[in-house]
Amino acid sequence: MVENNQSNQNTKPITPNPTPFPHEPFLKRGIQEHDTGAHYMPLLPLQSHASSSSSKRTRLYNFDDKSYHPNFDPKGKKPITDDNNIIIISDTDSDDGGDEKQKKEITENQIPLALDTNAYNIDSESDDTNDDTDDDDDDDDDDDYSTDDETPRNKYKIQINQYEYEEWRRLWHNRMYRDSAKRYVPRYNIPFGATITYVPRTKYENCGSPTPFSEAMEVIQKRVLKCKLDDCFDELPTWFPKRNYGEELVLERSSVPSLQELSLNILAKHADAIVSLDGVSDELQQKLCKLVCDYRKMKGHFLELFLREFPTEVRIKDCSWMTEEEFTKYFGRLDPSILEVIQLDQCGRIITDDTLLVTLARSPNSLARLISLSLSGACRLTDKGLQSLVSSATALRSLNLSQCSLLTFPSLNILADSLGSLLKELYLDDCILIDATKILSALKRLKQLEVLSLAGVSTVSDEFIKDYIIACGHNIKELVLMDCVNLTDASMKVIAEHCPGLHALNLMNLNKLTDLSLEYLANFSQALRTLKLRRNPFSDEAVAAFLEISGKSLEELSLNSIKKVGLQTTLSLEDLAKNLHTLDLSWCRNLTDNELGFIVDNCLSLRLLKLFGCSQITDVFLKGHSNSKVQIIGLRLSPLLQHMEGPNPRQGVLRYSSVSQ
Amino acid sequence: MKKEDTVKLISSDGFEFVVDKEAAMVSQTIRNMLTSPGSFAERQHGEVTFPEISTTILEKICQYFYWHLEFASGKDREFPIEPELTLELMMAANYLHT
Repeated sequence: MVENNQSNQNTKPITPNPTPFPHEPFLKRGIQEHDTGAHYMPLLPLQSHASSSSSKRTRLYNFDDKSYHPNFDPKGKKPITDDNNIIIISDTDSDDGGDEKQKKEITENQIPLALDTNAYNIDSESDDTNDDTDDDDDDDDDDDYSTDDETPRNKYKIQINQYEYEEWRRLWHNRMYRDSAKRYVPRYNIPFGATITYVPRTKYENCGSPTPFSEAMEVIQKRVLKCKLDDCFDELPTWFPKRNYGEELVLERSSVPSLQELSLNILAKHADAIVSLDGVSDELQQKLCKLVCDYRKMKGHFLELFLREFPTEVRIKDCSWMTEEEFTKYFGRLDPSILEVIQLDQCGRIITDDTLLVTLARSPNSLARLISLSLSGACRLTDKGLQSLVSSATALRSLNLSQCSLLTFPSLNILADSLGSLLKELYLDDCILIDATKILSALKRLKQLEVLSLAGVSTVSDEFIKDYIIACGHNIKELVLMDCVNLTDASMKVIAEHCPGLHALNLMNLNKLTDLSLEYLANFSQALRTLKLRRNPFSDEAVAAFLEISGKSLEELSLNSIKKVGLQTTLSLEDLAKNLHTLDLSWCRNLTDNELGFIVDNCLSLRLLKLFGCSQITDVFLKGHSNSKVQIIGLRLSPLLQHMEGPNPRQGVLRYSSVSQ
Repeated sequence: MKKEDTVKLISSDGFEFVVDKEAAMVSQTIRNMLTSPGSFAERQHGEVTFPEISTTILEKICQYFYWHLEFASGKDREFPIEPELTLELMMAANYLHT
């Protein structure tokens, strides 16, 4: 834009102080407490970052997806503004037809500001040696930094409005705030080689049709700017704890421990002394079994008593104490044909191809009524053992083979052959020998699959997701893709578009996702009930926009370690999350007592709030909130196992369907 | 204690425990019996018989009722339960929905 400016007499690029950019990389720091001034809203995709090598400076942005931000047209074909006065930062090379229009609309009021950073040398930055440069010198400085036509510049425009521009300029030239200004420039995401020009009102044109997400983003951006304009940092009024200090909450009836719970706990602790479980109802037996496992009292004695009552469901969360002899003894004696649910987790010691043949899979129909089987941790189970299991369990609907690390891709063929029309839930977490690309055709043969978990299978790639979801996504209700780190936004687009019934999605640790993913999910998947995020690089505004759209249906939300979560998310959460019962805000260190107080007092359905790692929260919140039903874990010591989900007796064995289907 | 505020709980051995209505209402089962719009015999006479619950267990249950009321109003004591009683206590508590 420099050349165009020079041809226009009214314009004169003003260059700022020649020590503009800090050493620190742009986006590696979050919001600090002593930051002042505006929270500028960068309107660019988050992938911008400065790098020291000039070759990387050119292509910093992903322009392929215009639908991300309708105002954003990198080719500069249309003048892009909104109704406020805006400033367009554009690049010289991007001047196509659009800039003709821009030039016409440039009036005398224009105060262009060219920020030619390509010519700056970061290494030469020094804090105090350039004190002599001030406003007057800036005009001259520009001559020293001649624009080089051959240097490729970035082709994009950045919009800021008049107020931001004023603020930016003020900061920039004010020596006292020079340090702040340096910090704000990276937050501003002004890339190298960009020039800033101020263009008054021009016609608003949309590149693409407005999507719900983009509209929500605009609302949120206006909210951010308004908050900045009013010069208030905190749009939330201060939350006052409603309780007086020291006053305890009057507990609801349901939070008093019931006699049943109390006696169950004591019974579980003394499991060795139980003589018989005769007469105890099935439901109580199951609860007792779970508690006994939690208290580490599960030994052969209790198991024997338990199995003596001919239960139809055997759930042992931790079988690591069992030896092969014990396993063959106890399970060899019982008749497995009555079993409907078997859960033998952490069973690496006991489940091998041979032990299975003697106990569970002793004959071709020995597990004829088995609906759900979980053998997570069966690290000695091979494809052959799986074959014998599957041929005995002919009615199996749910299979959990997490951490069965010896299984390879033929095991999927085995599953598809016999259970292709039945299997509804399949968990293959951490089965590291399974190559995702090779199991694709077998997976597609599992026609009824509703729940698929491929957590930790690092061979899952965008192509795999695309191929599988387009073929089978219409049935999928729950998808767990935690730790499949090769996935990018493209997969989220496919998932959002082709899984209309998606209820639960787990995207933990996928660090290649950007705000685009949230946009796709918000625009298409509006019935999401459970969303689990962890360490994804999403921004506060994108999460807030997502919540504005999908927040009504959410029941369980995890924003663990989403570092940027802060004010905007809080505002969206408190308005909309009426169904939310579980919320994980661990390690979100931008949240304060104020924000958490608003969330907890307004989300009346909230029952569980996890705040691990949030040491910035104080007793002002913990003892001051007035929600008597919520349990807050992670800040004070509290027994954790009671918060883990056990089988819900009111829910059927399968998560999303009834067994008869 | 006025007669209208109390209810009588009778164990399998015939022991009668007279407790406040409010305390007995901690048990969802007893609450339903005493407040349902139909006419349970229990409601008319103000007594409930539990042929499957023994005396020691019923006594413990009554103690639990009062402990529950105290806990809900803030006193955070522990409720002591002898381990020998727990199995039957658990089953009785399950039956009584408490």
